[in-house]
Amino acid sequence: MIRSFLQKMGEREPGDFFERLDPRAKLIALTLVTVAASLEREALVGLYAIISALAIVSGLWKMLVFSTIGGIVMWLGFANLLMPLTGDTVEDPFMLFAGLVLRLSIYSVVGIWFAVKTNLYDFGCALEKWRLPSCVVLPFIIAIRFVPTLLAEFAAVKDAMSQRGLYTGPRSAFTNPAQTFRCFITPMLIRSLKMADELTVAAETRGIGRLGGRSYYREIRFTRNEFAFLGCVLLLVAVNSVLFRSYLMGWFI
Amino acid sequence: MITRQNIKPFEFRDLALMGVLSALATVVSVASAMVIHATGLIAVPGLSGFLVGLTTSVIIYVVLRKIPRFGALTIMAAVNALVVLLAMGKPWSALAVLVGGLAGDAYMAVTRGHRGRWSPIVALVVYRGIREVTGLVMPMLIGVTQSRVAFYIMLISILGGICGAFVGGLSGRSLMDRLAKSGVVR
Repeated sequence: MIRSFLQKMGEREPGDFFERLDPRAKLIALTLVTVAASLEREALVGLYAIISALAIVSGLWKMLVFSTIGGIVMWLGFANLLMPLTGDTVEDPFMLFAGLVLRLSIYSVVGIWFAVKTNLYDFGCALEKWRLPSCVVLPFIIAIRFVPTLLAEFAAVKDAMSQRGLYTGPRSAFTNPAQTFRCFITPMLIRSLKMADELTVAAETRGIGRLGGRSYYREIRFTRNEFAFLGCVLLLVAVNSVLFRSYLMGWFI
Repeated sequence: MITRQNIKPFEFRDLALMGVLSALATVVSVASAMVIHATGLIAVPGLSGFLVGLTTSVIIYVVLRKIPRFGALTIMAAVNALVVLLAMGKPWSALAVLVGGLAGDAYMAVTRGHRGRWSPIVALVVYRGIREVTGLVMPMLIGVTQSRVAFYIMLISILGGICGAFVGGLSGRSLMDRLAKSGVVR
């Protein structure tokens, strides 16, 4: 599952509208939506509708369905199994549902949309444009780039452990978790330290440790598209917030 | 303590090490979270926080031991915060991770403990504790749930995370001692 998700993240569609947007605009939109979802309890239904439309337009409807079902399962377990068992009650059952299902779906879908629709190289450039220190940007880029390599290393360590009879399947990991963890983590750590050394040598050879400014293959800047996109998101979030507030107020009064 | 030597910029070697080990920490934490979910152990309150805290703390301890300088934990936390922001889209969780890292680093700087035996472990506990408290209390405050049970589960999760960081720090120290003894690391 992780591999397929990483593969999906690695697939690039250069012509896609969201892909071409400046990552900073996407990051601002993501923050706006998640903050609105955190603060505006009344507007969660509208925000969920907006995010659903975004997921469908971006081809991420499966992720929307998956996260909604996950949220519903969690809500069922929490509200209908755990709470009756402990005799606990809530003031507003709808808000519990909205908090667990709608809000969690909004967070996951918008986060995955950002991850799938953002090129890592562009994201690194955008972070540097935001004057984020390179001592944070460089390890971040290295970390993301090394995840597939480490997954391959994990598979190699697993094979080696199977050969020696230390790991015979998920059951052995369940019955002897401490040994499994130790046998996995020790070679992984040693391998990681070696990989870091090799990477340092390769990078120093290419002059990455050189001080001074860097130039980029692709220019990262705000154009009309970015302003239009941010304007749309801001407008939708604001209109949704105002509409739901007035609707609810009218309902209660 | 923050000295002139401590505030020198990091070398690429250190940054590469932090990057690779951040990737390892991310993979390990995702893998342990998936195992917990797949086996149904998620139903045990606090166990998820404990296991994720334990597994990632071992790796972060190795970084603190290899790079005994002010800023190492903050950079690891900042990278983790960016991963959290990118993968989950939760700005306050990312902020919680960052604040936790800064607090852990500040603790080590104040106690001059970058090379101590206990200070990195306490710094890990501070980091994990602040991260869990900020990350879990915030959704509670903004009302994801309003139930009493959720409050107790949250409390147990925080304690689980702190215990996990402590045990993970001890395991990391024991592992690094063995690796140093066998000559794998200096």
